Amino acid sequence: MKPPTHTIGNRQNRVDARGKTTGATRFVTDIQVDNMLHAAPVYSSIPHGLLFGLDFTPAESDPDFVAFFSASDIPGENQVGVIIEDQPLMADKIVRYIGDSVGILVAKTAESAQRLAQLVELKINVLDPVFSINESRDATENFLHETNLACQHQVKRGDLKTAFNEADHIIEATFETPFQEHYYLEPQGCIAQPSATGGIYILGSIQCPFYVQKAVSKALKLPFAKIKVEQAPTGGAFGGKEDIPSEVCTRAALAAHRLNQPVKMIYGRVDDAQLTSKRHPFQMHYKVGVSKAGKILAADIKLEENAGAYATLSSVVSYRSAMQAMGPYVIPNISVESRSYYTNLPPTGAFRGFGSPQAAFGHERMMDIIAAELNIDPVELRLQNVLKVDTETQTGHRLSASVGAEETLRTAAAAANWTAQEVSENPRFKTGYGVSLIHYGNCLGAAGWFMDGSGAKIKVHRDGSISVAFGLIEMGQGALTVVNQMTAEALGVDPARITVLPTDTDQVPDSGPSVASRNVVMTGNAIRDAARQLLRILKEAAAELMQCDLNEIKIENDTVLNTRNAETLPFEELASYLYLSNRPMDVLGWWHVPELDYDALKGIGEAYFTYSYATHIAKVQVDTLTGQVRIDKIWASHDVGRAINPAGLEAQIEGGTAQGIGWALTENFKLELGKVLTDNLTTYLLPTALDVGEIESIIVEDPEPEGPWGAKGIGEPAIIPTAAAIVNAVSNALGKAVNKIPVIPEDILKALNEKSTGMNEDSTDYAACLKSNRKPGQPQYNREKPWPPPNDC
Amino acid sequence: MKYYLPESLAAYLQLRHKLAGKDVVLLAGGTDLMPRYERGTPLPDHLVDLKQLSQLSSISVSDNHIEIGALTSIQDLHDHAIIQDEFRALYQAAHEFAGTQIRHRGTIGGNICNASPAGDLLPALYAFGTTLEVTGRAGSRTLPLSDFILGPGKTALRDGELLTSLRLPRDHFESQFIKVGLRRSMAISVINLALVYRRLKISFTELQIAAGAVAPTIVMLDIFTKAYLMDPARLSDHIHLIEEAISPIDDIRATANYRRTVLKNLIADFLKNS
Ligand SMILES: Cc1cc2nc3c(=O)[nH]c(=O)nc-3n(C[C@H](O)[C@H](O)[C@H](O)COP(=O)(O)OP(=O)(O)OC[C@H]3O[C@@H](n4cnc5c(N)ncnc54)[C@H](O)[C@@H]3O)c2cc1C
Repeated sequence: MKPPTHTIGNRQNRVDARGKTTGATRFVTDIQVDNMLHAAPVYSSIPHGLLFGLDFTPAESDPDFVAFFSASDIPGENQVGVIIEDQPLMADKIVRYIGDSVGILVAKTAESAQRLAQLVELKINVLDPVFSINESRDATENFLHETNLACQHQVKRGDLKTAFNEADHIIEATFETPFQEHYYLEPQGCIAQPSATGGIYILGSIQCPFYVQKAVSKALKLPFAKIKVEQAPTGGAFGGKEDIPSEVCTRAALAAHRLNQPVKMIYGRVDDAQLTSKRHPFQMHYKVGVSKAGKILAADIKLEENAGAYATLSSVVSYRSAMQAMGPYVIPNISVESRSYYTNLPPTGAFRGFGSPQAAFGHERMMDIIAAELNIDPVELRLQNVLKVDTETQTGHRLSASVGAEETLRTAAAAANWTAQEVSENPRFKTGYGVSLIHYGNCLGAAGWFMDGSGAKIKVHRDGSISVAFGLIEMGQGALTVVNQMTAEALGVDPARITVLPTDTDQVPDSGPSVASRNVVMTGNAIRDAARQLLRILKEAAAELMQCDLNEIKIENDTVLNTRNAETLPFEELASYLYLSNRPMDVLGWWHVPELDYDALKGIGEAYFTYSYATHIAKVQVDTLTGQVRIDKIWASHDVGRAINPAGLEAQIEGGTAQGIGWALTENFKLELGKVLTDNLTTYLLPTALDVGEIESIIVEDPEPEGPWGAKGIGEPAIIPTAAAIVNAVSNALGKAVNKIPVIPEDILKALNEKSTGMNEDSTDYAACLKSNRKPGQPQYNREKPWPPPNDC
Repeated sequence: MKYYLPESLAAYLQLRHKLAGKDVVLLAGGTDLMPRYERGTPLPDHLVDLKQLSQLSSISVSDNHIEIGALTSIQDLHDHAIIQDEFRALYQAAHEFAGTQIRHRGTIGGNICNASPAGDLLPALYAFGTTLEVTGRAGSRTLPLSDFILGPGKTALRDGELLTSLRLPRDHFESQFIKVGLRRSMAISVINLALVYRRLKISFTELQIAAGAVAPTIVMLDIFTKAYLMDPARLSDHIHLIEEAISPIDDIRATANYRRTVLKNLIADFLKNS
């Protein structure tokens, strides 16, 4: 039965828009607390070394100096690794990257804290660093941790050998993708203060308050019950505030706890760039066997990831990239090995897509290379192999519903007029079209199933107003608005009655992180569960008041209706009666992802409970004089099951696509010997409105039976296909395979001038950034003079 | 650091008299200075804010010249009808300059005195034959822009002096500005150039080309343009003269080689196809 539709599917203005556009919203940095002190991180400027001493006496004499805390001040465990316990809260023996925190300096003002932090002297015996995946993988000694392999996942299904023997064509290619910076507009930050319970209260810019609660408890040896973590309005996160706030907040909490005074710590932009996690660079090798007609028979795929100094969320990235490595196609025989290696670079971790954009770059470039080899239209090749209901994913997950892959492909191709592509009239420009199709497993998947449950608490107040608390968070993606809509829908009331509360650990049980595009699915279902319980209480009370049977009561259009006699009652009166009749006024709803049948050893089975699908088609112009790529238009078709708020959905599609454009073209992340060179907005170039071009969003609704009102996730699918679509378009324009991003003007010019077959043929060996960055003949790492870097800007 | 806000040119000169020989920095829009200080450059002992010197922020037009006050904002420059009509390349440079906020805040004097090899207004100003008026305690002097900028961040300003205005002859040239950055707005130029010319039908009779971001200061490609004007049919034989006039470097944005290639490509394309 279709539920009554009042607000679901309406274009809704964001409930937080006014505050954010007028500046009334107060972020952590705007908030002052009495007696508040300020902290700044003290960190290593050496990428690898043995730490044998810390001397803060040069800072101590300053009148603004308050305290310095390091590992020895931690009462509990010095451990903040979120999945693998490999990361000290404050390094005490070994420093593993430039930015590895060894302590925090507390001062009277933020400026003094920043200044004094730089005076702390780190005594370090320099060790040889390892920067590339290849060096790390091939090392036989001097490992960064017990081994250099941070984690791995695999898929082994079918009979590869026979399938390759039967294939008419076997095609191989190697791909590389670079780091990406989250560049949330608001850097990391929090205020930690001693609380009335004798514990700690944290207000922070965070994506998972429950992670922070756990991390603080562990380090400070305090019970969870005495740690309250509240999410402040958060200016962007993109995965960058999933686990990093655990370090930031716990260090601040340590200082606040020891000093018994509030402590604020906000990272400066440059520190944020050097210290915090980024997207994993991948190097990928694909070998695919196909029939003459274009059926994919077998795929042998190796993915290697640069994990940086600590594993953080690498295992999620290697899991997801393995599960989705060959895309939304039927592939009966497959082997995928996905491995993350430690290096002495800033840790890479959660970032919109968790390895999916990287794997999508691999499988979607591969599809185009196959199409070219077989001389089949790229859309046609995808249609021949695409997943449908009753087919199996690469992991052998038989799909029973909500498989909109084909429809996204058809709608995008129709909108882009794929079969009648335009050609540039000006010989200076070469026009290219590229298509990319992806799937994205919703929520945490089999590997994270044990923690894939979330809650929502709905409270009716005696005046008829309603508040909702939920365990996930708003970080700019529009969660507050859809939580409001879904609550109104589930209860049959006016959205204006509803206030969505800021997330805090005291309100709702641990609901896991706001990642994996899981908010609408998890919170929506939890709201439905809460509403079911609450409606029973409301109807019981209404039946009592209106003297009829409970089943005769309906609540819709914000009114209580007795269907026997059409008598109505304003919702306020029912709320008031609820109070007067001594009934409970709030309920907790809960939902967890259905159990998944999955064999972790082979990587076979239900890797996720359902998938979102998307096709992007990019039309680009390549300037033959400058090598610049201009995006004319991107058609972005997304199967989201059901659009809760189409306006918010389109904003997610546009934002994700823009971020994908940046990763593919302008955000040329550069490092030199472990130091981030592109550490500000002058050198790390986010795409502007002019660079993004036009985006046409197409919404496909193939409802997911387990999703709330049929909905699936959109946050990450929005970015996943973009880079591959653009590079397919560039390859199409050039008539040459481009297998590495970012695609920069220099490389395009080179490709235009070379008569050979492709760009980056020689670049199979290492993460793009380091390589492109090391000039020929530049000296190798120097033990005696590891740093400072040349000052460019 | 001490901060000063003189209210007139006279007050400014008096102040500089007091501060003779001291570590003084002038502040106009601050769009070059502030990021530098944010990045850790030590503050000067004395900072003199010029924003009250409103007589320096006007544009006046006479029959033969246009005179632009040093404190004219990029936006006011952009919006001026004569600039749009007669100094097209300068208008285009202002149009492609930064973003809205910076265009309102940043000044033409700041762009000149900052003396960045990539300053976007500079190629057009060079190619239009701009002269500057500089004022100090000893009075005013005028000098060509090309004598004023000595190197990256280096100018011919003497102690106490400030740039007061620029003067461009109204020669009614056609012109074109071309900028290549790593994105389409808010980008530091990897290459910028201005072409100022006169044409008879399709052939060029006069031509000046100034190129930026390819040497420590803006380069006038006079040897190339002279050779080209004498024998336009042999463009490809002259192209190497461009390369010989410039000395680009590798930096975080692009390689020297890229700059060389793109500059040649853009000039050749312009001369062949416009
Ligand atoms: C986000 C951003 C984008 C930018 N984009 C561009 C761009 O696209 N193109 C471009 O060319 N530049 C760009 N810039 C640089 C800058 O905006 C320009 O160079 C601008 O013209 C500087 O003017 P200002 O008035 O702000 O200079 P200020 O920062 O105030 O001063 C710059 C220098 O000139 C000196 N000075 C200023 N006025 C005088 C005077 N009258 N007499 C003597 N000395 C003086 C100052 O002492 C200082 O050394 C950008 C800057 C930012 C922050």
